[in-house]
Amino acid sequence: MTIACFAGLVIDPDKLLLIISSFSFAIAALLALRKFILPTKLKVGLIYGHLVFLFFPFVLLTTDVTCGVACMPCANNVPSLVALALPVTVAISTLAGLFVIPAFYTLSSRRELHNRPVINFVKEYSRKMGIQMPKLYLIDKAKPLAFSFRSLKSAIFISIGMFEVLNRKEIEAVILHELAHIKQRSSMLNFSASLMKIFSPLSLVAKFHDSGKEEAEADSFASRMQKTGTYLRSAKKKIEAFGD
Amino acid sequence: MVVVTRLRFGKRNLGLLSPLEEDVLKILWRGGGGYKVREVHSILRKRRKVALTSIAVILDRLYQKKIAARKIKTARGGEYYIYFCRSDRRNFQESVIEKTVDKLIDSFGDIAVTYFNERFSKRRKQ
Repeated sequence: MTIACFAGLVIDPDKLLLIISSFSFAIAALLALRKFILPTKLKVGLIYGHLVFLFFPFVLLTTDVTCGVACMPCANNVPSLVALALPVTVAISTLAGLFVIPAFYTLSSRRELHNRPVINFVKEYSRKMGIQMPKLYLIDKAKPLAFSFRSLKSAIFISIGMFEVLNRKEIEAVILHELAHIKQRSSMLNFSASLMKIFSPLSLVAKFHDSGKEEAEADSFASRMQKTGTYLRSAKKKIEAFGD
Repeated sequence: MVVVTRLRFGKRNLGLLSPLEEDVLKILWRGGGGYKVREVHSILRKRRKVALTSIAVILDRLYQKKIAARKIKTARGGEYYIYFCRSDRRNFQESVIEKTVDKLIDSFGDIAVTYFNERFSKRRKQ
């Protein structure tokens, strides 16, 4: 008993079953992400799901070892190990998601934008704003949408639907809005905070971030640059009209 | 208990599509090398008042329903979708009939099968 206590790690059938099922769910989530065309929210949910199931066995075993070394009652007690490991896993997965999700989008959007007028526009305004020109990626979606990241490198993602539904001035308004987010250096936090609100119990922590204020600032920047808010308003109207 | 929520077989309605979806599909059936959203919009606009966004939504819906297919084209102005039909009018109508008959059989079981049998034998006698 003492040896088992100090060794910490004793793989009994219950733990083995948990580990195998967890890895299976992680693989299933990954396969679903690769195979199907899914809505963005579901895709992000699957990424979080994948991370949780991927990290869970490691956290479970680490907790088991820690409990064993400290000779705590949780050692080799599967229900109390799960009760300890699960919140830790969710916390780690949420934090990992902040880095993994932007990387996922950058890697999965293999298409770079070829729209010359848009590229020139972004180049010109990046220079004016004193920021490095972001990479421009195309999203294969008919819904008009655009978002930006600034983690290691900045990038703007624009859907094909954007070019089909919005006119040139409206597209420029949306791009200026995204450039303002990149300039604010908080697009990453903004994006992650809004994801946390949907998928993670850590949404309470995300409340420290006022994304509404940033949106308003980005809107006013775009309107200031265009000397009118008409195009941004009509762009938003069209995006809303498309629905989910 | 069987609850029939919606079974519409009006003159204009093919059973699975809304009137606007049907109008858009009729344009796609014309064939050619496929249509851009703006092209479908400019054709339809002559007949009815419709927004470009609505056409984009309808074409995307037809794509999601796997009735239409699309591919990305790149030109000097950037990227855009080209939509075209997965099947011709006749094949589509046949698949609608098949789905409808399957639904009726699923909902009403033996009663539907017996009815179809009687109906077909009556028609053969005529």
